[in-house]
Amino acid sequence: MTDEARLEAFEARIARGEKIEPGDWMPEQYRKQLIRMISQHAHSEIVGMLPEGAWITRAPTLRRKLVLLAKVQDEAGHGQYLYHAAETLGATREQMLDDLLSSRAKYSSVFNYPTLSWADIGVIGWLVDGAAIINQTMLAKSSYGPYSRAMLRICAEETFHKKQGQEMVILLSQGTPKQRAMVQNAINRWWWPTLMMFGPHDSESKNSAELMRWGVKTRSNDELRQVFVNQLIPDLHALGLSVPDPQLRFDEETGNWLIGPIDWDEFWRVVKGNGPCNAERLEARRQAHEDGRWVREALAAYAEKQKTEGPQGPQRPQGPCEFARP
Amino acid sequence: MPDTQWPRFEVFLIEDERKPAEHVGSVHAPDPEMALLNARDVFVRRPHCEGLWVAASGHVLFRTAEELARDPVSQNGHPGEERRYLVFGKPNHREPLALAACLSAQSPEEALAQALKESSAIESVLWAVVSEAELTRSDRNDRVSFFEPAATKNYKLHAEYPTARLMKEIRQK
Amino acid sequence: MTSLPDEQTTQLVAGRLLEMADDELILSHRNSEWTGHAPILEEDIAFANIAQDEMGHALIWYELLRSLTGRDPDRLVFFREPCEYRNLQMVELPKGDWAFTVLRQYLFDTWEAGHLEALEQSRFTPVAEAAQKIGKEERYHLRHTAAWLCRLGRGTEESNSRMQAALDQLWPFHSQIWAAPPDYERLVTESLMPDLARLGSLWEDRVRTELSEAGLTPPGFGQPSAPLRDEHTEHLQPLIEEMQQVARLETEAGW
Repeated sequence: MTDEARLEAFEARIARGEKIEPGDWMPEQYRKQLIRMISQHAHSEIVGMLPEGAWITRAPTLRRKLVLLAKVQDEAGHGQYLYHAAETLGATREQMLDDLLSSRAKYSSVFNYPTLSWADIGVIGWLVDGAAIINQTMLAKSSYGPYSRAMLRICAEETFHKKQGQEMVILLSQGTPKQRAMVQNAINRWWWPTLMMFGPHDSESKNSAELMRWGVKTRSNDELRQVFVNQLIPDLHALGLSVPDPQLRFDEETGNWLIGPIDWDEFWRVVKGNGPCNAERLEARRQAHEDGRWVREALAAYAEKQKTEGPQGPQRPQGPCEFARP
Repeated sequence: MPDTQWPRFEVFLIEDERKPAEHVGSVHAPDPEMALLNARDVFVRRPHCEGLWVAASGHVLFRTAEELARDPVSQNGHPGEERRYLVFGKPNHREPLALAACLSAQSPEEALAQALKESSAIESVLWAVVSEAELTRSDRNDRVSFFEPAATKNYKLHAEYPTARLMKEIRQK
Repeated sequence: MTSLPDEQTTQLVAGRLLEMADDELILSHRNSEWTGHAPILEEDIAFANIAQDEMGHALIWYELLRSLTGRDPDRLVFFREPCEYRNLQMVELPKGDWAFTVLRQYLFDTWEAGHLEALEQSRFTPVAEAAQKIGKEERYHLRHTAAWLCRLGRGTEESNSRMQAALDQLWPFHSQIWAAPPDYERLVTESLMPDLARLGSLWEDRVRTELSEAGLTPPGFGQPSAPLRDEHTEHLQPLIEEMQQVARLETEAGW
């Protein structure tokens, strides 16, 4: 078969709604785009652990502590699922992490903003995770099987992230004047970075067309952004909260909440590495990576010794094999 | 020295004893025991699970339907000693890659070829084959400490957060 | 039995529960500091699990304490002064490197394994039941930490020397683990709480054997006598201050 015929067959499979699996023929560009996108997504999860993780020790009730620990743990889990999906395409985690730590790979810019108060934790949960869920629900329909399956798993767990955040925002918005001011201030800071998470306008997004043609994405950045704004605004207003957009208005004709212009200069500045926390986030990741090196090496050495010298230390006998059958 | 993230192990999970084991993903680990523990911590953060198996990724043969159409497996690929193999199939893109057959063969390729012959009626978009000897499994005695705790962590379940009700009450006020 | 015979016994049981709850809370706090910074992604997930479990155990003991004294767990945690904390000094020490963290966790998990098993025999049913519930998770922690102990102890020269350094640093604190509060003897006589000294010597035997299997040797020195639970190192005060700072922004509001 010629490459053209293969490409035609490949695109026909996607048009039929089939999933592409790891060993299937795929255009090199599809593989490259997916590795780029999935690893970026994985990096976002693990860098995203940092701004929230910093508040675990300060969470103001025992329950909130538990919830935040579980949420940040989930983010590590989601990063893990996503790295796995990229590994099925031939990428290695060593290489992907090296790309991240040497600033060759990108991650979601929203995590380059600082978390300045406890209310940020609620707002991140409701807004940032809420926005992520909209994107991820679309990606769960992605044409690449392992990516789509990772997304299904992630979406199911992320609903908890969004709801715990919303619950916190509700509580603070109905709380004392100090708490209300705190949560409004957090929304003011996170609103625009959250809207930027959906990516540039469709007309400016260089990867979008190809990703849509190959069924990796099925809806455009602007479409998804609108879904998010329409979901959020009525709830925020009901809580007596506002967003920092003087041009925001409801369009009777379309039923959409229309937002004012997004500051794309800021967006590109942060994407290119000059946001408020880019350096700090990467430094934290590099530090953890370097501090962990001797640990990873020690366990690799121990495993090697076990292989050559036979098992050391206590052995655990395998119980009888129990096969669960259909 | 280049970085090591340790080798990968494929993870198979038994959600419920009445259901077949399913492939759920992979974990990085230095050895099988750590792989089993990592699989528990990565894949059993929430209920429900009754068993876990791990096998080094290099010992698991994956084949898609498209690959098989292009390049059929030969019955006598690399004959070795007779072993028990587990064959997993994924009937369509919605259903999981789940245990479909358990048979004796001399190589994973031969096991797959046999499974294809014996169950020609079964459609599968993706196959996985692993020798039983390569699996490290959770033990029945581990169940209480491995899997029961997840069931008590209800703060991870979205149903615990009555946001819709709270919003409704506030709107009514 | 589901209720305690008199006020004095209740106070004694409550005092011991506070120690157990504080241990879990402070260790969980230290462990949670690793979230996002562990040596490998899988361990980030595993260790966050341990921190959650310990927080959960703290909550179980604080709730039991509430049923005896009426004190609200959140008030107790977020509005108590550092000098009122009753945790072990060992758990308040900074998280250190991964070797220190693993070794501390190993010492704590092995202690807990024996302690919880003994608590399951308590005649006071709520304690026995709580110990049974916590024990399930602790068994898993121990399997996890024991796996780490032997791998780091016998991995590379560097990992072995880091583990030995951690042991040298932690060992002087170990005898506090079985030091009993005043009048605790009464609870032992009435089979409400286990004999800590007996558990301590069993524990030390076990730990010495396993440490030696991992290529590690406890140092020959220790504290002349175990400090009391109201004595702390300089590390507790900043920990508590950090933990309480948000809660104290609004002392009467819900969070």
